[in-house]
Parts: sequence; structure tokens; C-alpha cells
Amino acid sequence: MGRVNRVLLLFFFMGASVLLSYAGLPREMSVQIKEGQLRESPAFLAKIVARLPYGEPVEIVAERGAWAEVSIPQRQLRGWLHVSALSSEKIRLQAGAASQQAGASRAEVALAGKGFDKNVEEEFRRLHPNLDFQWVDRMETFRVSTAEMQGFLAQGAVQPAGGGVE
Amino acid sequence: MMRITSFFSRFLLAAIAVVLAAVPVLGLDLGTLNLDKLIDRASSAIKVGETVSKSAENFTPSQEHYIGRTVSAMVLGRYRPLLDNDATYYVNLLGQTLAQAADQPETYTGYHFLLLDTEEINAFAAPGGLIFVTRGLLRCCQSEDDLAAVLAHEIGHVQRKHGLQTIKKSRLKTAFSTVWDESATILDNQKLGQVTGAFGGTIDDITGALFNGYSRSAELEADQDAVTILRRVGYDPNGLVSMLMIMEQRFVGDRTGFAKTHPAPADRIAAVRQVIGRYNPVSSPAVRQQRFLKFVGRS
Repeated sequence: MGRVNRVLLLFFFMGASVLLSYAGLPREMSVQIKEGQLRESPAFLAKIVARLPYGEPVEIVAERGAWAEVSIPQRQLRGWLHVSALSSEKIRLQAGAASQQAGASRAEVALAGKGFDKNVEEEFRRLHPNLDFQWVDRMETFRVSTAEMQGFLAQGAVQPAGGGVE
Repeated sequence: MMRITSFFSRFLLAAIAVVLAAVPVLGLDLGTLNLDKLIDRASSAIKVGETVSKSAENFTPSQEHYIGRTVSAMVLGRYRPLLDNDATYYVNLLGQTLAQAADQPETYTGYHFLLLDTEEINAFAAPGGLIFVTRGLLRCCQSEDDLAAVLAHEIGHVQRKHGLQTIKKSRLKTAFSTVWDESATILDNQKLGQVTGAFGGTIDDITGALFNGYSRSAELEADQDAVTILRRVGYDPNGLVSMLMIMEQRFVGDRTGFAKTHPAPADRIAAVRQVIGRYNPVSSPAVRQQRFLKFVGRS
């Protein structure tokens, strides 16, 4: 009896651990960065098919490595996002802020209520008036497009390994 | 015997609960079984566990972003940026391309790079992906592959949250426990004061570590990440070793700045060699070398 139980249990745990190791992402997630890049395929230089605003809810359709295939049925969008762009928390935008067109200010508003945010930065800057953010703001405008990256690699004869599917 | 059986049945129950908890995650549809309540209870238990042990890992990308902005302002309070648009563009082309291949390619506003106008050999990575490299460190690079190694190493610090890990626990507590009325868009002054105090402390913790150097293990981890990123993008990981070899030569007799606060380059080279094997000098294709030399000439 004990031995049978033990064998059964062993199988049970093996089964459960296989299931659990397979269980990656929850079914519904939210974009947790300012602008999520929805790509055509799960590769780091794949074409961007849409940009998703902070807080946008997505449905997880499939997973491959660190990439999630997501769908946004309301907008008839489907594509791949890197999991680092996703949160399992539901990010609630302020009332009236349509997630589709949540501009920077609205997205910022949605951050209020939890720890370090824009309000805190502003208060800190008020207390430290000599601290200069001019270059920090400028740095954040330095953005390179996927096309520029591809051109840069090709021009320098740099060949990505395995198409970046990781 | 009885005791053993009940022991096992308890385990069996626990196992069933574990599998059931996995059901929603797997997206399985068990249809007729009404498991919602059980699952809800299991997941709320997990959430309670999470709030008990808040750590640096719990910062959201946007919170990390605000920390990183102020840390960067501190860096720029000490060093002047190098004013050269072409050089800035090149370092961002290279750096942002590398970041795309990192384990954490996405941060709140992405990775951004700036050169600092100083001969000091140093680099700083602020949380969220604002990365600074000095002209002195640039001079340790002889190829684009070498420079790629420097930038990838800094990306490693960001994705491993080495900066955030230096924050004292007491500040984390304030940062995570002060929550105000969600319907209010403006915090009340007392809470704002508390959180801002914790914020200031957080900035001190991180800049302290940034200017005095991370631990040896953090440096070695960032080196490992650099090798991974370089390989994925198609750069030669030997670039990391060749850059460290030059750095070692420059450090002779210098025990200030970076040399004082970082593990010896020889130590790092030994660790990198365990991953990439024997060192082979980098030989960049001519087109790549040409554009790198043009960049170095400007900066």
C-alpha cells in the first residue's frame, strides 16, 4: 500500500512539475513600459507592426523563449512582445484615459499612487534646485529605429547569431 | 501504517492543489469543474507572500526609470557630456542595438548612451538604462568589438539591477508601503515628503555604489552578460578581453578612480576566459574598423 502510494505520488509530482515548468505567463498581461514594440516575429530585430501604450492589456496566445505572442482583439492586433515589456499586474489608467491613445501625460497620471513617480521627482528637484536634468531629458530622446540598427549591422558586416530568437 | 497513509493523502491533496493552481496559468479549460474559488485563494496567498518580502526586484519599470533619471542627473553633476552629435549617434546606434539582444531589452524608456568628456577611465549605468562612458574608457578600445564589450557590460549592470540592489532595505519599505488614495492624482504633502525622503536616500545609496564601484561578483556577472550579448549580436567576445588588457596597462601605478574601485582587469580576464576559452585577438572587418576609427578620431 505504502509503496504503491509512493510510486503513484512520484508520478503525480513528475507530472505536476512538468506542467508547472511549462506554465510561463498568465493569460492576460499589461504593457509595463512607456511604449511596447509589437513585432512581426519573436526576434530582436523583427519588424515592428504596432506600438502599444503603457497599460495596454494584452492576451497571451503563445510563448517562445523570452517572447510572448499577444493579441489585442479590440484593435485586431497580433504580434510578439518581449516578456520584459509585460507585467502580470493589471495597470489601471485614470478614468477617461483611453488606453489606445494614452499620451505621455495620461500614462504618467496612471503611475500615481505607487512609490517613486513623477510627483516624487518634481518634489526632489524642488528641494535640489541645482540638479540639472537638461541632459537627462535629452538622452531620453536618443532613439535608434530597428531599420537603423539593421543598416548599422549590415554596414559593419556584423551577423547576428540565430536571428535573435532567444 | 495509518499515519503514513494520512501523511501521503495530505501530500496528495497538496499536489492536487498545486496542479489546480497551475490551471489558469496554463490556460486550460476544465469546463465543468468550478475551481475559481480555490484558485483565487491560492493566488491571493501568493500576493501576500510577495508584499512581505519586497526587494529591489519589485520596482516597476516606471519607478526604476524615475530613480535612473535622478541618478543620471547626479552623474552629470560630476562630469560634462561630450558635445559631439555624430559620436553620440554612433554610441547609441551600437549600444541600443546591443541592448535589443539583452535578456532584458525593454525598460520603461529604453537604453540611452552618452559619452563623458573626461580622461578618467570609467563608466556608469543608471537604473532603467541610462548609460555613461568616459572618453578615457573609450581610449581603452581599439575596435568596435571592444567598445561593444564596454557597452554590453553596462547593459548587464542594468538588467541585473545591480544599482537597485544597493538600496537599503528601510528605504524600500517606505517606497513600497506608502500608497495613497488611488483616485487622487496629487499626493498629500506628508506622504510626498516621506516618499521623497526615501527617494533621496535611494539616490544616495545608488550613486555611492556607482562612484565607489560595484562588488567583484557584480562586475563578473556584467562581464558574463557582455559575452552573451556580444555573441547574440555577432561581435567578437574577445573584444572584452582586449579592452581589459589595455585597461590593465593604463592602470599601472594608478590607484585612483576606476582602478581603485573595480576588480583588477587580470581577475576579470581570467573569469571571461573560462567562458570564451583561449584569447584570440579581434580582427574586425575593414569597414567596421574604419567607422570605429572615424568615431574615435572625433571623440
